[in-house]
Amino acid sequence: MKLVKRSGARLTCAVLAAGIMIMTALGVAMGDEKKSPNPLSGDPKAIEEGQHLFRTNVCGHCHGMNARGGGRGHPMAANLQKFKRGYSAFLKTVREGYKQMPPWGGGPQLDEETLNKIGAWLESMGQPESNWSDPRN
Amino acid sequence: MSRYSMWFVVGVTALVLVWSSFGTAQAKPVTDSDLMAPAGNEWLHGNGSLDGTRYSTLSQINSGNASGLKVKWISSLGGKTDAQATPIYHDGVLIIPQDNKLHGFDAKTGRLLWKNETEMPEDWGGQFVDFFTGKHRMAAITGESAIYLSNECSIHAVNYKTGEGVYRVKIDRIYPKNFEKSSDGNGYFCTSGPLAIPGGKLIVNMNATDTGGLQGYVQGHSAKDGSQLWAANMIPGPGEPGSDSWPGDSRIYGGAGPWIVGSWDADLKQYAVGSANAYPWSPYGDRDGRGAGNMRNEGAAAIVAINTDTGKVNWRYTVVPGDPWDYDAMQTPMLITIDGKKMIVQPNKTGYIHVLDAKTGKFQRAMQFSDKITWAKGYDSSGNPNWDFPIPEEGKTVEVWPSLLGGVNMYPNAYNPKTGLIYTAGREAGMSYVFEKVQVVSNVRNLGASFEVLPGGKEVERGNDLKSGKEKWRYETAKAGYSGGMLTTAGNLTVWATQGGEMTVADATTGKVLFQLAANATSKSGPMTYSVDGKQMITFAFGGTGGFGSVADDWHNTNNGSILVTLGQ
Repeated sequence: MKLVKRSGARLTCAVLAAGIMIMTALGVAMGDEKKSPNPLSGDPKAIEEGQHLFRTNVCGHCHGMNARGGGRGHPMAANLQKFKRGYSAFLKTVREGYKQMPPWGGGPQLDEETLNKIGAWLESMGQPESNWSDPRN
Repeated sequence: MSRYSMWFVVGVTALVLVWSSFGTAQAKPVTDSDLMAPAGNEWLHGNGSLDGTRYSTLSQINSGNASGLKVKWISSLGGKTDAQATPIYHDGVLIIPQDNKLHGFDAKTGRLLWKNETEMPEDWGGQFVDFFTGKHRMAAITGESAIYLSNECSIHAVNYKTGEGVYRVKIDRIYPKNFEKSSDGNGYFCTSGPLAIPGGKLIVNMNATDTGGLQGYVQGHSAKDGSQLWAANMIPGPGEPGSDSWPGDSRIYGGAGPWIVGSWDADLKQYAVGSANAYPWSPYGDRDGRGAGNMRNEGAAAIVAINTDTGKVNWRYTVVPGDPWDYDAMQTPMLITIDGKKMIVQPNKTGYIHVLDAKTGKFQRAMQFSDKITWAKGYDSSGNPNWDFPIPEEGKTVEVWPSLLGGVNMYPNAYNPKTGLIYTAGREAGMSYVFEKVQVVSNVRNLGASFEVLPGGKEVERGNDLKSGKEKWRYETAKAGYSGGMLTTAGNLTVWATQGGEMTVADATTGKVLFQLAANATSKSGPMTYSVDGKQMITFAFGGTGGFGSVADDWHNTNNGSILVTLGQ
């Protein structure tokens, strides 16, 4: 009886441990999927600079200083606080244009670091329904 | 040839000649006398008449029968962007520019008669150029030529009956260029229309403000061949009064471009026009700073009066000295006689209606029409604003009312001499606003400011007594935005379409809505009226999307519907 009890306890521990490992692995994987590939994502200095860059370049003129519309450019310039299409799509949109938005918003081209800083600020402004991670295939 | 054969030939020839006359009716040239006449059977100018008041003498449709109005025809304008032009009408043809094309429609049926198109240059581009492309606010007509400006500032004259090109002349000023294709992206873009005045002249507004700030001009051109006669600078140059109100060379990129057609006084031979904001928006700037609000920057956010015989500036009145808020004073300064004296009257972004002596530009009064104004507490007797709070330092966000879109924006206002009321296409909205460092790319200075029009707010059309400023009536919508502009008539009517697309005909005295019909397309231009075969018609142009200058939650739920709609009895 004692032998059975000890074996049962070990089995329970093993199952529990395996379960914890699986859950952890799943959690890490899911967290990775949610994480933006922007190398400056979450960087406080980049976020502060990104706000300034968004506002001083043409972005703020159409999308408004808080990126939710209220600007003076094309009507219905998107509310970027609800941007859902992922970080790679954001970069593609800025570089190539999207629907009525011309490439670079009609302004000068920006380098990658500037885009990452602007992206970091936009991510920090994101509403719950926004998504900056790249979607799974 | 026998006698019978001869008569047969004569008869057939006569028939052919009569048949031909139906197909090619004689053109009726627009004369100087026609140009001077008030709007009535014809609507020859974008604002109806040279005084800019958008008042029609027609009264066949009136407050007694407007409730029975019907749709007479609808026609597609085929535009990709806002329809900002009020059509003009002459001799059966309705004429309207859109997307760098000039269209002629049969005013009885709406059938497209002709279309004259042009293309932009390959290196066309630059700061905000995409936003301006395709937009035109007026066309003009004189003699047998309908005339419009394409966006890169060419004057196009076409035969008003056939659309056949008469001439095309590129105005001698640079246009804005794509950043990648040019080391200097600054340039002039034309969204305003020309004004045809007696004596064979066209008055053309030259604006380069938001594409980098090159200073604005008004130019006189020959209507016969488009050649330039003179150019008048909006910002005072060396030796002119007020030239010392711009530090260093800051006037070169000081903005102040005129971008809405002005009015013309036949006695004074004077064109009065409003000018855009000072540039950059930030008064701090770098080496070309405007003095951080300490300098008046005369000529920007101003009303400027020009002698159209000589091109000399008669006077300038600066509505917002030092303009820190992007408060353009671009609206048409209307020419109105008040108690026997000719006045210039301009409702503008500030939330006030300014009244000036037409001959001297002397400030008379500024009457508040906006519900909420926080940037100033009225104007003093010299015509200077009583500033309400200091200009904030860079990086500090402030809230200002009205927003930079204005108590009124570009959508035209109107005045009715019978009611004595001035009708404004207004909006109640404030803004968050912050100054940022000005940066320069391809020699283009950026704005140096960022903003957001605050959520909520409402569209408000008002009728204010011109002498007292007292509001007599208003019409409000729950949704943010501006109507496309106002029309008023001797039939005691005031007419507009809301940003959401409701065509509205109201009693001009009381504001009571007599007729309303939903077009469900955004209105960005004012309606106009004319008479065809003895029947009065009212035409609206629709086009654009109803989300300009609003946060996403306030957008109107309309698609881009590019149409003309005509009402009649």
